[in-house]
Amino acid sequence: MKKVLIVAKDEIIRTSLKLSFENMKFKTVVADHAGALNMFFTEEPSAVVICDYNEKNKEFKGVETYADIKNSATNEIIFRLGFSKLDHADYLQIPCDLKELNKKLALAMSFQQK
Amino acid sequence: MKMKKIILIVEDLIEEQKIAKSVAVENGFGVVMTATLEDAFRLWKNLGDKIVGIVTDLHFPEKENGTDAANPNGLAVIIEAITKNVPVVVCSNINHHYAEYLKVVISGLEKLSGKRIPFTMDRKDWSIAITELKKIIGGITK
Repeated sequence: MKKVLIVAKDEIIRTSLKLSFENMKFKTVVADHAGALNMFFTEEPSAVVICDYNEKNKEFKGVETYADIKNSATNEIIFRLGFSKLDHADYLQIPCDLKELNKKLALAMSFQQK
Repeated sequence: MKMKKIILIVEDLIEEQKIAKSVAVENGFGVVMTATLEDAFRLWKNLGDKIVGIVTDLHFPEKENGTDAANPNGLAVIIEAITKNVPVVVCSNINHHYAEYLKVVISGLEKLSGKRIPFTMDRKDWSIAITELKKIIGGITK
């Protein structure tokens, strides 16, 4: 079973995404931004969904979390979620339809080599 | 499932980063990559003991958008690695004719710390650098 790492500052978001992905038969692990990179190496997920991409505060910068994981990734699928309107293939503006995210994730994983 | 050994690579040029990462991954390492001194220390603090080795360039900026890429910030990485007892290898393209002060500093640090600090010059040879790091890490884990 493929594993998805969910990174979000809010527990409620982590839990919602976890339930949604588990419905899609993915195994899930969750982390906040501070623990994301550590979890990425420990759990070796097939995909990572990073929320709060546009957030920048004392505790974390979403852009930094994304860059850290992207720089360490080999062929893991990475999606970033945020409130701003940005034009990146791996970016979804929230609020977004969870079904759409699930579909994108499932499609990307179906092409994944690992 | 056995976790990969993680190494930190400090290199500011994107093309070199790609080569370095590819060589490290081929050698079985998990890679944490950064382009600045500030970021290197942030990532190191974040991952702590999970970082088992470092390969660093010598000249790169201290901070993002920094204009000080000519400063030998790699020396700070080397000293931090010695302090933390983490193996470190230097991968630089500095012309050996102009690297006398660095040779003196690095060999001095080797003598003072009693640790080997392999140092490639003239061209960035990531294969040699990663192989050297593997040798040192292998020696430590035995």
